[in-house]
Amino acid sequence: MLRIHSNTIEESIDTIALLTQYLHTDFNEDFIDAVPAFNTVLIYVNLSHTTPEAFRQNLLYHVAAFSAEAPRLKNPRDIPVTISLPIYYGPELAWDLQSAAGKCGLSGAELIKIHSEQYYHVCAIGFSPGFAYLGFTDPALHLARRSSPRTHVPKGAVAIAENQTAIYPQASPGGWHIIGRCPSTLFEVQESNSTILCVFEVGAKVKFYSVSLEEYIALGGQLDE
Amino acid sequence: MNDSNGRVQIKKAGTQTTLQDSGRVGFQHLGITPGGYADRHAASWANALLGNQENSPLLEITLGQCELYFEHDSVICVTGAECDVLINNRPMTLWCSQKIQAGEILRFGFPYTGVFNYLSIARGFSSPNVLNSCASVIREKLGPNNGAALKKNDWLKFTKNQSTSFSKSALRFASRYRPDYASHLELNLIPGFDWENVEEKEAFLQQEYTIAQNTNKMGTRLNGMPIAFTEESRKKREAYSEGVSLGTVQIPENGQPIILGAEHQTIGGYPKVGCISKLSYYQLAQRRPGQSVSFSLVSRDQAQRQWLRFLRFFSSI
Repeated sequence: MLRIHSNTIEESIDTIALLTQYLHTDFNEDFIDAVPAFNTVLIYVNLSHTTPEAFRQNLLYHVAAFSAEAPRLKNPRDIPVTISLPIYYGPELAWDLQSAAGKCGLSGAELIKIHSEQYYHVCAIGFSPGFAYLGFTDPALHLARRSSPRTHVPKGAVAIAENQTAIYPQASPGGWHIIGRCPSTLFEVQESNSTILCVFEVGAKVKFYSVSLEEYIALGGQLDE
Repeated sequence: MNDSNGRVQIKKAGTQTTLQDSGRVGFQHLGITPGGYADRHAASWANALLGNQENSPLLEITLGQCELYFEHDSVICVTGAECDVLINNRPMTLWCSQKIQAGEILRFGFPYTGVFNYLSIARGFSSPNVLNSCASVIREKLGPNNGAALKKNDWLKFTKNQSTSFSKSALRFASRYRPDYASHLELNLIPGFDWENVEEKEAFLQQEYTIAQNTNKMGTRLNGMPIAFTEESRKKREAYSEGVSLGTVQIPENGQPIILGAEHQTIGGYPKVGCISKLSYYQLAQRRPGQSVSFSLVSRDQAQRQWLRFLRFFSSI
C-alpha cells in the first residue's frame, strides 16, 4: 500500500489518481490491480512477474522522479475533468430531503442549492460495483448516517452522509440520507462482450445540476412503484 | 441439442450451491470483489484429482444437502467438508476421482465438519464467463445467471468425455493429508503497518478467538479479547477508507476482529492489524461458528514462499 501526505486531502486525491495512471502506463505487467482511495493506493503485485520487494524498490525510485516531474505529467491521458450529472430533487423520490434539511437547520431548497452548486472529487470507488465516494460536501450538509440503514435503496438514489455524497449505481442496502435521484446509468457490465461502463474514476470532478420531473423522465429516470 | 454436451440437473439445491472458479481478477478498482471459491485448497484438489485445468468451473456446495441427477456418464470428484455423499445408495469416497453413470443421483448429507464441498467434473462444468470468470457473486449479481445460486430443476452442462485418457484406477488424496476442519486453527498473521500500535500484542497472540454467528463469504467475525490501539496512534489516524484484500484483519470500534473473506468489499474504513495468509484463510473458511482460532505472526516472505509453492504446484498439474 502506498500512502501519501499532502497539504490537503484534495491534493492527495489528485496525486494518487495521477500515480495510479502512472502505474498503468509504466508498470503494467508488474501488478494485477491498483485500488486508489483518498490518499492511498493498494497495489496487487503480480507474483509471476516480480516480487513485492523488487516492485517496491522500483516504485519508490520512480515515485521520487515522478514527484519532481509532476507538473509535466498532469493529465497524461484523458481523465474527464468534469462529470456533469442531472439530479431530480423532487419529494416523490428524495425520501430524506425534508428530514435531512431539518436536521441541518435548512429548508429543502437551501439544501438542494448547497448540494448542487459545488464540484466534488471522486475519492474512491468501492462498497459496491461502481459506487463512488464524492468529497467533500459543504459543512452545512454534514450529517451522521441514518441510525438504521435501509435494506433497499433504489438505483440512482443520490445521498449524503458525513462529509461526502454519492449515487447508488444499483439498488442495494444503504444507510445514507437520500436527497434526490439520478436518471443516468453510472455502472453497467455488458455480459455479451465483458465490457464495463463506469462513469466515475478516482481523481475526476463531479458537478450536479437540478432537473425537473419531466426532464428526469425524458433522461430515462424511473419512478418508484 | 449438442451431442457432446453432458447434462446434470439440480434436484435439491441445498443451502447455497453456486458455480465458482478462482475469481474475477483485476476489477477491484471498480468496486468488484474477486469472489470465487472460499476454500481454494479443497477446490484446487477437486480439479487436480481429475486432471482438469487449474481454473475449471466447479460447484461450491455450502453445508451440503443438495442432490444432483446425472443425465450422462462422467467422472467427478468431491473434496472439502467431511460429509456423507451417496451415489444412488452407495457411499462415495471423498477426495478421490469417481466414475458416475447416466441416470445416477448424487446426494449430499449435512457435513459433520467444515462448510464447503467442491464438486468437480472431468473437463469442468461449461459456464459463460462474466469479466473473465464464472464466479457467482450473489450480492453483486455477477456470474452465470446474474450470479444467482442454483435452484431446483436448473441444468448444468459439461463436455462429455470422449477420450480414454482417464486412468482406470481412481486418483485419491491420502486421508492423512486431508485437513481436519474440526481442529483449532492457528492463523498465520502478516503484521501490517499499524501492528506496532496494537496494545497488548503478546496477550493478543495468546488468545483464543471464537467464530461468531454472522460469518459469511464477505468476512469472518471473531469474538474474544478486544483489540485496541494506542491512544497516540488513534489521535493521528486519518479516517479515510483504503483498499483492503482477502485476509485483512480489521478492527471495528468494538475491538472484535473481522477477517475479510473471498467476497470481501474492496475498500474499508476500519483500522487493520495486518493480513492472514491466503492459505490460512482457506482453512478458516471451513470453520463454523463456535470453533476456535488464534493468531501467530509470520513474515511476509514466509507467507509468500508458501503461497508461491501452492500456486506452482497446482499450475504444474
